Formats: sequence, C-alpha cells, structure tokens
Amino acid sequence: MICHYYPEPSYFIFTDSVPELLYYSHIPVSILALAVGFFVYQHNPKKVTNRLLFLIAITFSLWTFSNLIAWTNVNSGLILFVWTLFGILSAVLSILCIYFMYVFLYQKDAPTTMKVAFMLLLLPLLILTPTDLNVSGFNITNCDAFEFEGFILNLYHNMLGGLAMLWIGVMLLMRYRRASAVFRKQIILMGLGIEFFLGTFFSITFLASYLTLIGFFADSRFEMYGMFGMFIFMLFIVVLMVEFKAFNISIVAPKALVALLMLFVASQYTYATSTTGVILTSFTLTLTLLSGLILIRSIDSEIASRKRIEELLKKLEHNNKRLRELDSLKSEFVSIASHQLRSPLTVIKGYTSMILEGSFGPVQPKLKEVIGHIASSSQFMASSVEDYLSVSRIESGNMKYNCVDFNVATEVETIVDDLRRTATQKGVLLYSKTNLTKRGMVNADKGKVQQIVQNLLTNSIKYTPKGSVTVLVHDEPKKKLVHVEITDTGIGMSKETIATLFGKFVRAKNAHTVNVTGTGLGLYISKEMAEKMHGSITAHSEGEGKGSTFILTLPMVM
Amino acid sequence: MHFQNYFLSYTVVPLLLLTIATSYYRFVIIEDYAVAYEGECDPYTQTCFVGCEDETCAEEYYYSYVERRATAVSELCGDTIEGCDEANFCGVGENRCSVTFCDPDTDIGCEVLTERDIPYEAPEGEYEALSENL
Repeated sequence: MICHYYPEPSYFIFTDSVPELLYYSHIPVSILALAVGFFVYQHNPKKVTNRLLFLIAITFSLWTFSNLIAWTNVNSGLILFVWTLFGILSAVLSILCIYFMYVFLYQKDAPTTMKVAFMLLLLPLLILTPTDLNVSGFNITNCDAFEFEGFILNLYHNMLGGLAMLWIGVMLLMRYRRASAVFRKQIILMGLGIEFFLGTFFSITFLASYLTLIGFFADSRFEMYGMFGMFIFMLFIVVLMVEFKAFNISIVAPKALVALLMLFVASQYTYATSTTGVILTSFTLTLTLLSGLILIRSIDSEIASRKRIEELLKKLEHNNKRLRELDSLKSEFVSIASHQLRSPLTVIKGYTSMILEGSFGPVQPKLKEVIGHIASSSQFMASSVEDYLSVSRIESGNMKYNCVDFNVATEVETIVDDLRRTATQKGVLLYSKTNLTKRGMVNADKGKVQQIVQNLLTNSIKYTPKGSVTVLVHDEPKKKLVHVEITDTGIGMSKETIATLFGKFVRAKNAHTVNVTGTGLGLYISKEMAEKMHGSITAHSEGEGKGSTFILTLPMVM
Repeated sequence: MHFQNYFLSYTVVPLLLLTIATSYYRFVIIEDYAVAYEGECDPYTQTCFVGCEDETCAEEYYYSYVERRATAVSELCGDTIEGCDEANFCGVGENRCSVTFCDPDTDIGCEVLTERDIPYEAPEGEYEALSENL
C-alpha cells in the first residue's frame, strides 16, 4: 500500500518531505563509520577486534539506512519490513560492542560461555521480530507502523543497550586497574568513545520513540541526534590509531585530519538545497581534496626521509658498537704487546746505561756515540710503551688513582728544576712563577699530576725552538681552583689543531717541523687523567708561530 | 574448537538471516499485516471524527477510522486507497475489517450536523428575479 499523502522518494531515500537534519545526521556518520571500520578491517582481516569493529560499523550503517528508508519511503510493506529490523540491529549492535570491548581489553577471543550468553540475549528478538509483538500494522494516514504492539520488544532491545553499557563499564574498571600506564590511556579513550556512542544512541532513540508514543512529540525526529555518538566513537578510534598505533595501525595525524576534513565538507551536500550550494560545496571539496593530496604527499616524503635517516642511524649505531668492540680488542692487544715489550726494553736500557757508565770497561768514543743512540731510542720506545699501556688502562677503566692532599706548587717547582737542564741544553729559557692567594693545596693523585705537568712542560720545551717557557701556578679561591699555566713562545697552533689536539694519536700539523718523534698520546692521556681527578686541561694559541698556553686546572682543597 | 570459535557465526547469523527473510516474506511478499486509514464519513448521517486540513485548523474534514487486512485493500484498490470507494466499507463476510465512527461517550470532538447546518442553496434563477424586482 502507498501513503498517498506523501511524495515518493527519488533514488530510494531522497525527498523534501523530511526534517532537514535527517540526511546530515545519518549519511556522513555512516560513511565515517564504514570508512574507519573498513580501513581497520583491511589492515588485518584475521584480527578479531578489526572484524568486530567493521561489523559494528556495518550494523550501525544498516540501522541508519533502514531508518532513512522508514523516514522517506511511502510503501507500507517496505516500511514495515525495515521497521522490524531496528530492534534486532540495535540488539546486535549492543552485543557486538560488548564483544569488541572484551577482545580489545583482554586481547583474546570471548569464552564460549559469553558467546552463549550473547546468543541467549538475542534469541527473543530473533524469534519475535517477524511477529505482531514487534509490528502488526501500518497507518496509511501518517505513514507509520503501529508502535504500541512493538513497545515490549522496543523496551527489550533498549534495555540490551543499557546492559551493554553496564557490562562494558564493569570490564573497563576491572581491566583498568591491572593495565599498564600506556594501555590505561587507550582504555580511557576507547571506553569513553564506546560508552558515549551507546549512551547517546540508545537513550535518545528510546526517549524520542517513547515521547512520540505518549504524544509529547509529533514525530520521532529527535532520534536523529542519537547518531552523533558514533561520530565521537570513530573520532576516538582515529585518535587511538594516531597516538597509540591501536589495531597495529600507524597513521599520521595529518592524513586522518585530511580525511575528516573531506567528510565535513562533503557532508554539506546533505543540506545544500540550491544549485549554487551544490556547486560551491563541490568547489570547496575539490580544493580541499587537492590541498589534502599535496599535504599528504609532502608528509609521505617527509616520513620516507625520516625512515631512511632512522635506518642509517641504526646502521651507524651498529657500526659504532662494532668499532668500540674492535677498539677494545685493539687496546687489549696493545696492552699485551706493551707488557711483552717492556721487559726486554728494561734490560736494553739497563745494559746500555751500564756500558755508558763504564761498568764493562772503557768505551771508545765512537762506540759511546752509537750506544748513546741506542739508549735514547730505547728511552723513547719505553715512554711510548708506557703511553700505550696508559691508554689501554684508561680505556679499560683499570687506571688507578690514589688521591691525597698535596701542594701542587711544590711539585711543579720540582719538575721545573728537573727539566731546567734539558731546556737550557736546547737554548730555551725556563721560568717558574707562583701567584697563590691560598696554599695551593689540591686533592689528586700526586704521581699523575706530576706526569701531566711533566708531559705539558716537556711538550712546550720540545716545540719551542728558541725563546722561553714560563710556568705559572696561581689560584682562584672563589671558584676553588688551582691553575698550572705553561706558556711558551714556540711554534703555536691553529684553531683547527686545538680542536683535535686532545684526541688519540693526534699531533699538531706543524709538529714534525720541530720534533719528528712522538706518539700523539701524551695530551690524550693527560686530559683523561686530569678529568678523572675532577680537573681539566685547556690549550690556547694565537696561531701558528705565536706560541701556546696549556692550563692544567685542579680543584683546590681549602 | 572450530565450532566454539565460530559459535556466533554458526548460530546467530543463520537465525538472523531467517528472521530477516521471514519479515520480508510476511510484510513485502504476502502483505500479512493490518492497515489503518481515514475513511469517508458523512457528518449529516454519521458521527464523524474531525480532522484539520492544516496546522492552523482553518478547514476541517470528517472521517471514520478503518482498519482491515492489507491484502484485502490491495485486492480491492491496488496500491493506493486514493479514489477507491471500496476502501471505505467492509466487504460482505470480510474478516478482521472494522469501520469505526466517533463515539461521543468515549471520544472527544465528535461531529454530528443537522439540517439547519446545511448551507442554503437558492434555486436556479431566484437571484436574478430578486434583483430585477429590486
């Protein structure tokens, strides 16, 4: 039968004789639900949560489509048929929501007992849906089903909605207490989304239906506001995917936002009544689509670059680790080799010294000169071996520091006295000054401090062909620091050389012009040792040929 | 194990499809349902319900309440009751068909008109004779 008072719809669901909100409340939200549901499903169709979310979206969309048919069509048989589906679809929706939340929260399929409970809850509706207890007749005058007969079933499926909210609420509370901090955030988002959807959908559709039944409203148009809960639910799902990679899906926020923006603009079609409105909406939609595509392409390229960098970083980290391992092996090898070398060197040094001193009888001058070379070479070799051993100890963390309180000025003075002869032999003047306001006491390993000062001072003498080397010990009581400042008028350094000077096996570019020997380890060892004693070494120079200043700083003991 | 995993698919889905198919068969194919509509009513001879033509209720109309099986109406009137006189009364021996008129004892606003409510319609030529005499 046809309701002859109302016009027939075009394209099955489109007519002017319905509330303006109808299409806006039904179509965009269904498209959004289906899009999100399908997106999640196609990503991993075997995952139960993905299937269930897609099923929720399909069931909801079937409900909204049936509702659109009931609102717009004039054929009594068709309207009554879709009318019978509202109850069963609502009930299935409730059950699917419970099932979905269980799987989401516990990350496993629902037990069989729960499934049987679902089945039993649905059974009354499955049996009674086609009967007069649901709908029995049709009023041609207002083009509506007889409502009263269906009220009991209407109440039942709405109560199922309430039960779903309660059930989900209990599961959320139970799971929340035992969840990790990250999963708790996901639980809150998913819980709020699904509870809001169920709350608005069931309460508003039931209230609208009930208030229309008792004559409070002329028709049940207020049920349309119940659809917007699904929009919020889907929005929360998108947030979960963006923020927490929910459903193992990683999407970037701009892509989701562009898709939502497209939907918002396209939803204007549902209430664009004039041709101008449709044209303007199409124009805006096209511009949004183009801008969105450009944005997404740019973001994709950015993401690809980031991924490449991340891969390179991983490789770099791996190689770095491997290099450290090799370096450690090398240090170990050097340590072993150095130990093996030290013993014969000591013998060589001892015998050459004894020969030169005449312990084995008088030595001819020519032979003395040769043995002198052997002695100095073995001395250099011994100090090199000592350096290698020091590096090895530093890197393996085996360098021991016996810190005691001592007067650094006194120690410096002793070293200066020891090296004065060497400096004088080289034609370099060696000065020593003290400008202390306090006693100059430091807490450090005396031997190591001596080694550092000796190394710095020897270097300064070595790299000063002519001129002077000045050692100044001064302090800064406010900062509680003592400085040993060694200034020479030697070959100087460029800024680039200073930047790398304290590295392993590094020598100044112009070092070879003055001193051909040297391991390039002395400054590295000195710096490492100074830092281990809470001090530092810095180098300064105005440039090549303009001399250098090295400052050893140690914490003062008051 | 397989059955337990797909318990709902094996039970609810077939039942759901069966329910939907039954509903479709009942309401769309065999039209097994009642229809109700406003039938004709003569306020001078019958007690009628009063309806409004629009929201302001400037114009009223009179109707009876008819309820019968959809199949019976379809057989008599086809797809629509518009212009179908047979839709206003029950056929002889027709089951589950009722035409309800307004009952002043239970319903509010029933309308019954008398002869005095009939607007006067002058015989043809009367107005012309009167105007000539004036």
